[in-house]
Amino acid sequence: MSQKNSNRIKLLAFMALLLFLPMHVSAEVVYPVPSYENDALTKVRSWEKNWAGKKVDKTNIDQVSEYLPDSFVQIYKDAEKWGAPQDNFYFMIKPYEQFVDTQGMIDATKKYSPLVKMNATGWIENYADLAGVPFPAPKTGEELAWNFDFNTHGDANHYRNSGPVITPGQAVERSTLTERWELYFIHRVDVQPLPKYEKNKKGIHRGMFQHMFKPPESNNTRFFNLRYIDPEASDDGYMYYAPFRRVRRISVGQRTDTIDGSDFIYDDEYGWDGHVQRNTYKLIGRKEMLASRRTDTTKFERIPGQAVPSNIVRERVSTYVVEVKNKDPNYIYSKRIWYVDPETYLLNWTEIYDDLGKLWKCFEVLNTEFPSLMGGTKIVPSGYITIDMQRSHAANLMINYEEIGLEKVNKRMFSISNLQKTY
Amino acid sequence: MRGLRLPIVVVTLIVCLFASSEKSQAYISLLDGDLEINGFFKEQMFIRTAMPREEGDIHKSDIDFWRTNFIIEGLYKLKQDGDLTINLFGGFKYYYEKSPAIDSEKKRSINRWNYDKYLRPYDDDLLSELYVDFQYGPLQLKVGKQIVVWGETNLKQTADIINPLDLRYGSPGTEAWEDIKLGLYMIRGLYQTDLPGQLNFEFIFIPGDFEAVRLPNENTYQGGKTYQSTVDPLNGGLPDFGIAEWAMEKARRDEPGWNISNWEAGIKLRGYTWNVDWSVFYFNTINDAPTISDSDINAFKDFGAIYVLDAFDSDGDGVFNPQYPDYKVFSFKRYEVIGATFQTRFENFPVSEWRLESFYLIGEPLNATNSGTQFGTYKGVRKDTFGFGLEGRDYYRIPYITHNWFDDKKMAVSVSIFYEKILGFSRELILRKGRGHRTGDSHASEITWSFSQQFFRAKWFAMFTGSYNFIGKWFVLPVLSYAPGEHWRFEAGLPLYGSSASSNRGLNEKDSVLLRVRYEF
Repeated sequence: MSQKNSNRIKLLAFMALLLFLPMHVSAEVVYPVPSYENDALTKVRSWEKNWAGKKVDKTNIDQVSEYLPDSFVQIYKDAEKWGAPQDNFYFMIKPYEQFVDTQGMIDATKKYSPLVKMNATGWIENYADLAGVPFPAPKTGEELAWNFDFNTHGDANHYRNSGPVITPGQAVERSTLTERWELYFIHRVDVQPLPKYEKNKKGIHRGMFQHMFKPPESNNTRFFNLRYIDPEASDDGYMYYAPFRRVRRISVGQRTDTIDGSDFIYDDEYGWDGHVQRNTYKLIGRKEMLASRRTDTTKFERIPGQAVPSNIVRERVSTYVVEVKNKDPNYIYSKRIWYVDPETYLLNWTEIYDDLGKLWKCFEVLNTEFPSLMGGTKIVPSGYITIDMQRSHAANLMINYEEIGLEKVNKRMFSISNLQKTY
Repeated sequence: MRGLRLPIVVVTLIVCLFASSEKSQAYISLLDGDLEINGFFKEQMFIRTAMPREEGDIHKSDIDFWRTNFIIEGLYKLKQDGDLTINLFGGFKYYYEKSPAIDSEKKRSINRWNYDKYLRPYDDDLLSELYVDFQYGPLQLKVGKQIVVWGETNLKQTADIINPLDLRYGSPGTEAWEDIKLGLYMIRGLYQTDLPGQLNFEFIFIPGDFEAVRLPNENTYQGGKTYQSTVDPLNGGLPDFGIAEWAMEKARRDEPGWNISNWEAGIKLRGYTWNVDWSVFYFNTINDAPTISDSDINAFKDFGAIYVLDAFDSDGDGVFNPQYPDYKVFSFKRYEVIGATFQTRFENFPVSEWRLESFYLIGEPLNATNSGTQFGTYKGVRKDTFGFGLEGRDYYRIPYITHNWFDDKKMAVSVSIFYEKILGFSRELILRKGRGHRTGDSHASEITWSFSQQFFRAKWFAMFTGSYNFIGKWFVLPVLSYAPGEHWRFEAGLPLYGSSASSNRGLNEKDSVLLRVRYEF
């Protein structure tokens, strides 16, 4: 090689270095990322001038139908079929409002997201050592799924959930009432120890304890579930069934069983409640949706037999659309379509398809902003409206948080002896 | 009046609390959540589908059982301060068996000693449980009347040995275990350690409260019939009660009751190792069933003779009215039980949940005769017995049907096999028929099953449960349940019984329609 060529190569290399230098600088973690900025935000604000504060019902829903799942548009149009009052079945639109997570979440995202080590199988090798949002600029469905998975809902929380199982138009309903605690052992962003409990021999990801009060035959039944860090390990679940005072280990088969007459299976919690790697994920793109992100369930209006309550307040959000398929060929669903909130990575909507590829269920995940005991606010799931489109059936489950960001959750809560600390 | 004091206090308390309740709902929480109340009101009826000719003179109606049952339970949080929690739990129950009230023949046929006790609760039966529950960190201490569950297999007891059963109104299969268990006053402690395997220690000390198993009264739905256990008197016709009832009543009278020498104690160690939840236990107990001591053999003969002689009118008064003697005939002897339970899950196995419960009875008191029948010269013996119950359980999706008919609710299936073997068996042993041994066999084995399915969004529930003992004795119970809303539950079932074993007929010929209405709150 001549000296001249050599110099040219050096020059090119230097220029390339200069070219990449700003990229390296710009690779600094950007988080939080708003759903709308600049022109996109201007367009949304312009749209909101017409719609914010407006009541949407069957008379004008076609004008906003592009922002809702078709199934829900049909529900609003056919109020009678879904047990709603003909002249008072509506939802409200509010202006988009950016959600900024707690400082702990922001700090953890900036600290840990550059450290993510994903192997060829798609598993994050240092999964248990990280916290925050692992992929603040997600480019694939899988990265979105990890972002969803890392959300710890305030690290520890305590809430009550309740709601009816609804056969539209029938006034007699069965309802549930449970009290629940969750404790995340890893991915912790707000409550010490951060980012994980060092003393965790069993390798627990999350513990959940539940005390049931309704329906009456289940009163005082208690249940806990342990999710493990190991993606190959199934959950361990134990139930103390109060009428028989017996502690039973929960079968894996129950994960895909419907719960007490509802349209929910255990895997459906949060939109998906299982190991990330049990599914494949394909990013379809972005879609503008109306989503209930700051839900106040106390203002809902509903008569018995009404599948979807009135006065849900929804705002515009630019969701990620992800196609989710379970790796088990015999899984109950052929696929799920997630509509992922770009600011919280919680789900806003889920559409579920049967094994023939027909739309089966549509779930709206109601989220709400709730103050964390650690300061700041968290957006957390505050309810589910689940619709079985094929059977014209529904269930509403509303979540009332008592505390988010709890410091003292006794790990012994997730033990068989604690199950029996009742009558 | 003294006997009414407790019910009046309880009812007054309930009325006051309900009056102050802000909202009526299935689960009732009062006093800012410090008091939780729940319970149910139940009407239950067995209507015989075919009445044998021999029972004609003890029945005017096919309704052989009609009981009103009311249970209310309350948990009062006395103190909650950091790691310390003190709760007071009380369960109050009342029932009334109404079938004798609508059937004068049946009323006449139930023996006079136990008639009132059969109809309604007596003594402290009104309190199903009453205890104080102290919880301090890993330590839990419960003091008072309690029902304890140590075993979890269906239909048959293996490791569940603490509380005696009240079999007068139903048996496992038609009734929940907790409805037929009798509470005992005890001290129960549990300690959760941080040791490997999540070791948990439990001890039970029953300082002297003794309750024998309550066997069904003669001529009631669950009980035997007079014609099945009487001698044939010279003056013709049946005596008012059979010799079996005569003996059972004497056993009731010979129960030791409260006495410090009747103490019972047990310890249980529970842990989790290699994906197996296990427990081992030891229980030093008094036999719930009566036997005859060697020292009482002559007393037993004399006691039997009183019945026979009066049935043959040896005193010439023309009235069958045998009088119970003052001396003791039956005793309830001490023995020991050791056992173990194992529970695990096999994820890729067609049946994923497995539970094994085993027991070893050390020196169980029994009786034997030289003839191998209940008639002959009795003697007291002690035998060791080994037994186990193995249960497999899972939830299944039936192609097409689960999705299209059952709203994707899977069918719950449970199948168990039970086995027991008496070591050093002798054909002279007298064994309770409920143990299911073929005459002359040292072992007994039985399978039980339960298939349950919710449908129409859990408003409807169907269950098919049953058992088959290899001597040819069987029981099946299909049940259909409807719970339209928050509180009401309606159930109909068809308990059917059969036996090809002439020596062990069980509830053969007691086929019935079961009707049950329940209001839960």
